[in-house]
Amino acid sequence: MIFRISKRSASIRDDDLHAYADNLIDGLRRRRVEQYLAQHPEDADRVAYFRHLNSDLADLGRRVPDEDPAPAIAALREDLSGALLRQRQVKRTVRGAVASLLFLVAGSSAWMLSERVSEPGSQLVLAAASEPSGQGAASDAILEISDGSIDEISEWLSRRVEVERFSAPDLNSAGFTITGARVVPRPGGPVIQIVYQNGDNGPLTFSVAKGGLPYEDSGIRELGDRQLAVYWKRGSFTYSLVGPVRHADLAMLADLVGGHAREKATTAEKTPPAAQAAPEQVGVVLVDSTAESTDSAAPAAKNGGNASNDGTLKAPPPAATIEKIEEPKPL
Amino acid sequence: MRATSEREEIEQELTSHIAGLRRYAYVLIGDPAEADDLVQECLARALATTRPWKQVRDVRAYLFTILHNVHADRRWRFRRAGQSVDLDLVVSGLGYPAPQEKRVEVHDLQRALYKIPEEQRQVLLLVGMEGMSYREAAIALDVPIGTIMSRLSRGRTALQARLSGRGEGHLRRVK
Repeated sequence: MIFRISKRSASIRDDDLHAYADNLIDGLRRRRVEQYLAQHPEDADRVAYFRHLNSDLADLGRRVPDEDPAPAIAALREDLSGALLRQRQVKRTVRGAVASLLFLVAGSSAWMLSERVSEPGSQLVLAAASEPSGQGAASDAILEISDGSIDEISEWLSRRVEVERFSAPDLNSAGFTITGARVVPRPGGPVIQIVYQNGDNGPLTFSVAKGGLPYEDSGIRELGDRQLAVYWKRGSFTYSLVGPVRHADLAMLADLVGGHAREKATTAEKTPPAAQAAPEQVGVVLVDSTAESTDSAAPAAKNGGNASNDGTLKAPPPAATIEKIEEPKPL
Repeated sequence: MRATSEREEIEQELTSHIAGLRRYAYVLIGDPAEADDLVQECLARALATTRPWKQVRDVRAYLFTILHNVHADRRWRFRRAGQSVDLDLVVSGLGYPAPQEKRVEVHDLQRALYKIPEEQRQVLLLVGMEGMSYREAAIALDVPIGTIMSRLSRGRTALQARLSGRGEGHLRRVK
């Protein structure tokens, strides 16, 4: 519906209607506008629309993740202490302070994640970003990009974490299509998360992070609320899959993804998965679905998964190799 | 002692505006990473300023002015370098889930916002989202109040036209 501007008395201008809608006039002028609107329903509709628009804009703003001011203040104060006294270094130090500040307040999920990382004995570092409880629920967290092909999303992720080439695992063969991706900042480097969906099954969240886990591989773990998680470490990177899927399906998916995460020229056929620590320079996942190898670097199958005998998901395609060796730079 | 107190005041004042700056930059640009870069540079410039803070009457408007200056500088640099931002790739999926109908409406609005001129989008966001007065918005954008009013009016009309023509483009739910 397009509103037409009605003829109005000289004392009431279009600016008055906007200001009235924005609650920026009061007193006599406000009463005059109200009287005018009572007699001019078309303009009253316009004003109602302006207010509705403001409400929607405010709603849009509320969807931006909020920040926790307390740690932000602390970080700023700590990083600034002394910096303002060293005038020659002010700019550089302040930029560092602001970077820390922004890092710390870059989102509730990231903050929760960083707290979990520092928890003694904390294990579910990657899963924490995908746990169904709290603010970090995979299905509710922010997707920074969506609606793109795997290639587009891979390209975007490569730019986002500044690696030469990052390829998102292709789970189409298992019926999972990519719905989006995000990069969650955390101490030590970003966590890349790619979200997949398979009809009503999902979201399935695949995560990659540098380091961070005090163990090698895990079996499939229950996180509650029908969520299962599996995570494994290769070289200096840790991977996880979290989603409301069946045990065997997750095992198969982990095998499928794990195949993608395997180092080229691996000796996997002879080496147990837990011992397949890739060299430090092995980077984030790269997919080459045409590669010939079929064994998996993911630990799920050895921990009870037997996807090939389970029926609901398709069998994995041939596994992949890693060719590019790059590490993501910290955000 | 006094210097410490002043510094704390500056920190508190700046910190209190970070949420608004980030919120505004996120929605204005549509790219969280770029928005954070923008806010970071804005705060760095603000902290490095030689201008006595006590002379700044409206710190919020002042920070938004810096933010816009930084944004303008960066756009100019990008333009010189021949770079461009593909807005189609930037489906931001901001924040927390809303009820489904409302979410679609907000997504409509978000997409429509990116299709109107940025100068109009700036005013709409400052006034409609940040709740700034016209005077504050004028300071933030360094333009006369009359310009704010005309951009606001044109922006609302343009958005209305875009939103009334729903059906163009494909709306997609972002989880």
